[in-house]
Amino acid sequence: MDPNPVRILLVDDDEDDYILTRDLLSSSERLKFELDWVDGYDAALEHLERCQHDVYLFDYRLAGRTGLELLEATIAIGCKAPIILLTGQGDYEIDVKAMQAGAADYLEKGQLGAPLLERAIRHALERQRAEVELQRQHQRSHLFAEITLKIRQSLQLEEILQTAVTEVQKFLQADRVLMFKLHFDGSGTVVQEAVVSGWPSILGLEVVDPCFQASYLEQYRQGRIGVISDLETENIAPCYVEFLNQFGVRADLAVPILQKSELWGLLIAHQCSSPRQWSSLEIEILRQLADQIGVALAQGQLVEAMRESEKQLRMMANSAPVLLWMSGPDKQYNFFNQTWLTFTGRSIEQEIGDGWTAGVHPDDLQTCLETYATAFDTRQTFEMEYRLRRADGEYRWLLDRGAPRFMPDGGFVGYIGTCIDISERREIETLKDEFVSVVSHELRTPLTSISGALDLLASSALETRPEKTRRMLKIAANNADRLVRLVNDILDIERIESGKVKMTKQVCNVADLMAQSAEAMQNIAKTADVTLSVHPLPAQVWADPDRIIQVLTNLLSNAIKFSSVGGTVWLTAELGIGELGDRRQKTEDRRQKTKDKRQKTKDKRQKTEDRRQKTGDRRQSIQNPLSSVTFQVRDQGRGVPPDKLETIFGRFQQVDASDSRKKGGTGLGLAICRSIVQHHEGKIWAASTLGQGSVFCFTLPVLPIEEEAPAVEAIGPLVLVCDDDPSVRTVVQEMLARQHYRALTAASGQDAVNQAIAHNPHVILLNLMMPGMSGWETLAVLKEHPETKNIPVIILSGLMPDDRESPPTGISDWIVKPPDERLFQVLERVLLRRRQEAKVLIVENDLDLAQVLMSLFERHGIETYHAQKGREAIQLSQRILPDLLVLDLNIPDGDGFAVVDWLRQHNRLCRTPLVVYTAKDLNNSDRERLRLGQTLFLTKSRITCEEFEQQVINLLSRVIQDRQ
Amino acid sequence: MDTKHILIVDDEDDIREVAQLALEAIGGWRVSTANSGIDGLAKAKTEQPDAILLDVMMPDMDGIETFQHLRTNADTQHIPVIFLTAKAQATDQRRFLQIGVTGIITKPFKAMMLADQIAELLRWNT
Repeated sequence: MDPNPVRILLVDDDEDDYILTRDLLSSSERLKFELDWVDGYDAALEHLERCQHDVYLFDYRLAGRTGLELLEATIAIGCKAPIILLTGQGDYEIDVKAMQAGAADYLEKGQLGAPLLERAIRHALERQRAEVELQRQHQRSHLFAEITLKIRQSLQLEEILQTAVTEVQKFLQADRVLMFKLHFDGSGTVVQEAVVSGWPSILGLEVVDPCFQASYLEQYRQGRIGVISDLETENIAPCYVEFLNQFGVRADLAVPILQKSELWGLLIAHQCSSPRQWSSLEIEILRQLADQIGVALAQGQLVEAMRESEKQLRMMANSAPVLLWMSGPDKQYNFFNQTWLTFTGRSIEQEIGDGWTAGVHPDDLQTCLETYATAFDTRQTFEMEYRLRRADGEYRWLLDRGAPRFMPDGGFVGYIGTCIDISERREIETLKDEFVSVVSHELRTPLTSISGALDLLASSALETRPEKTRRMLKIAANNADRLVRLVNDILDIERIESGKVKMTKQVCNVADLMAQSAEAMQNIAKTADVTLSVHPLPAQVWADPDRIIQVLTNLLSNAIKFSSVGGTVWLTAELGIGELGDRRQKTEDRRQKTKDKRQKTKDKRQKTEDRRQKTGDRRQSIQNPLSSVTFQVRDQGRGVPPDKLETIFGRFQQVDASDSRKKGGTGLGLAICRSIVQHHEGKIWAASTLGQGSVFCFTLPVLPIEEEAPAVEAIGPLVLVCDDDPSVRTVVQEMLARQHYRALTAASGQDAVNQAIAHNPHVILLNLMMPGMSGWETLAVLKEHPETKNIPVIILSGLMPDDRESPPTGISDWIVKPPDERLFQVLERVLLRRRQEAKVLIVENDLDLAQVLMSLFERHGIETYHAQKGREAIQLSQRILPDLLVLDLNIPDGDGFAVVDWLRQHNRLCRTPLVVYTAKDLNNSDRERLRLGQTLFLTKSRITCEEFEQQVINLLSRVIQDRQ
Repeated sequence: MDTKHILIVDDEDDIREVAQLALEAIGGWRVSTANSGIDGLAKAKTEQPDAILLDVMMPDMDGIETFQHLRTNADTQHIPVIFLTAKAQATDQRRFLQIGVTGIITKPFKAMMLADQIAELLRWNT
């Protein structure tokens, strides 16, 4: 017998009927009943609203109403318990209506017996239970369907979790449902929540309660489900009770979410309002849902990882320096990376399909498509070279490597290809092949003569012909000489062009270079009966003299070779006509445009040269036109055809190879000249009128150009240059300016003395051999005068110091002309010697910066002290009496202002030169307050280390100068 | 055996001289020379040599162009031509043979063997 009694409410106006029913029910052996009785319709409604009974029995006949009406009212209230209507005999119509209205059964009052009543109640109850179960099952499958659908609709992790808590909350009608995500250390976070209003939200809560640390995780990991029906009555650890109480939890259901057997977290339902018996069905549903969520999470993470990986791949593809493409199984191209699109200057829409073929050079397109198609049909990798039009219209050679793509299951999905620009490689290869071929020809030609001649000599064939023997010996000897020259020239040009030969540049006198070159060629000119006419230019250039003489002798030698007997070759130089040369060059360029077809390959090479030449032009135009010297070698020979004016500077590009060979040329002379001139940042060109002669010109910069050097204000040490030769003054002045020295010039000894008194330079450069007051006399005057006697004097003279005598007193060093890099070494040394007598105190709180500053001064050999605090700075100042103070304003005890205030009171320190080096922006009154001796304000981070060094060392030099 | 007549066309004076001496002294042939393609064409026409020894790399009109002129001219198209060239690469040699030259002798050549080489290429049984 069921231990729980079935609670029944009987609505009947007749008490006898109640007693009868009670008796009938109490006789039941299978079920236990608890019968309540109520009399009348209205009283019945009051009970029904509470819906506390398992079964209702309504009498049809109620005073003024019917049981049928009550039945309808009960259903309307929402009471779901089964209702059995008790009717009179033969009321079939009523019976049918009752069943239609939702009655569980009807019984005729007259036939009421114990078994019948009991059976009717039992069946009604069973039917109702089955319905509820059915409904729940329906709800469960609905819930699953809904959650699964939502999960499928989105693979975003967050949405999966949100969907899960919302739906579970709806299903369980719990007060709070949440997702608790576990971390590696056992702590966890509430990452999603659905909570009914009135209860606190705990979304985002981080749980690190030690209460959980023990073994609960392991239990969840094994699939345990935590069920608490009533926190107050169950035997639960007090700390856990306390923890849950914070959130008003009364009943709690927690199921583990496992993701590939790893515990991801918990799906938790809370009942806050009251205790709750979690039904086994609810627990089971939650468990199954947690499994679903686990799977969904795994999928979501996979998708997210894939998305991330795809994003990275796309980024890589787009930023890769190679051109990338992909095609599908239909042969059509469907992807081009950004590098490709940038290269072609076209959009992806234009390129996909076979749009890209529009950019392929028409001559290459067929081979290109055939190669692709053949490889595609056999799923082979392929490699092809073709020309593709770049955005600027130029066709570039690409090396395209394609490979078939397969899915993990082996399915073919198309091709992927990478392309690199190999234009330069191809060009170099072509040039190399040509060069090798030409060199091989050039070497074989003399070898042929030598070998042939020696072969004949070795045989007995010429025994009887002594004149032929001599002739063959001569041919062999001449060609051996030529071979030697050729090998030397080939090695020379290779070494120059590869940069293995360093140009040792120095200041050279143009006139000297011209004279030496002419001298070297004098004998050859005399032999050829050609007059050499040299017009030297008194100017200075920055060059390697040996190499420039090589260029000049080469040009002179060519001019002499091609001059007729009695002709004249002129060697001249002009200042600053570089621009004129450029103009002439452009006219030749235009003329050059009509080109022979056969020249094609040579033209290509020429293009490279043109480009190089253009770079030279740009450089040239930056220069002041007056900063270059143009050398000219002019002859009256047969001239150079217009179309050869450019090419003759190429290797083995003589106008007439055999003719030039006859004249002892190797075909490399002008190429070597060009290379040397280019290494001097100059340019070389030729102009000619056929039959009337040629002129070969090249430029050299007067001094080295430091293109990148910013135009900084000259704030370096002041140098007085005294020389009677204006070109020396100009050259030295420019050299000094480039190294950031300030320069003054004096043309005579007297001028030098006047200027030294007026400007008090840091150092004087003095020539010895001067008209009027000589260098020695000038030195004596300078050393006598109180205002100039401490200025160091460096002799800059064409004379060598006399080793036998000790150096004359009063001079700091001796430089022999022409001045080169050594000038700066000497200047530095002399200036350093003076600075070394100085002491610097650095007041700086930042130890790293202090270290940097100290090493900066120490590099100049200056005695350096450091104070970190104001008090320390004051004490050290008193002790060492620094020549310069470098002061940071931000120091721990007080500030820099206080230090300056104190120093101002000190009778010996009040004039100390000061560099305020601070991160602060100072206004005028600040600056006024901080002024001590000579004061320099430098702002940290606005000034580079070099600028700091330059300004401070310069100040120090001035200070020392003043002191002396 | 008849005394053969060879025309040497080469812009290099020394090579011309050595080759001429070699063919005269060793081969016992009659030799005339030309120092350019144009000169060679003219001499080929007027002198009707038995064979032409033609340098390839010459300024203005090179050996290949000269050969093509020789071949298109009715007066000279029957004269066998042997290239004398410093171009020793196989690709160049193949190219020369394709245009129809009878043979190729590479520079530097063996002076003592030059006549034999020419005779062999032309199947002159000495």
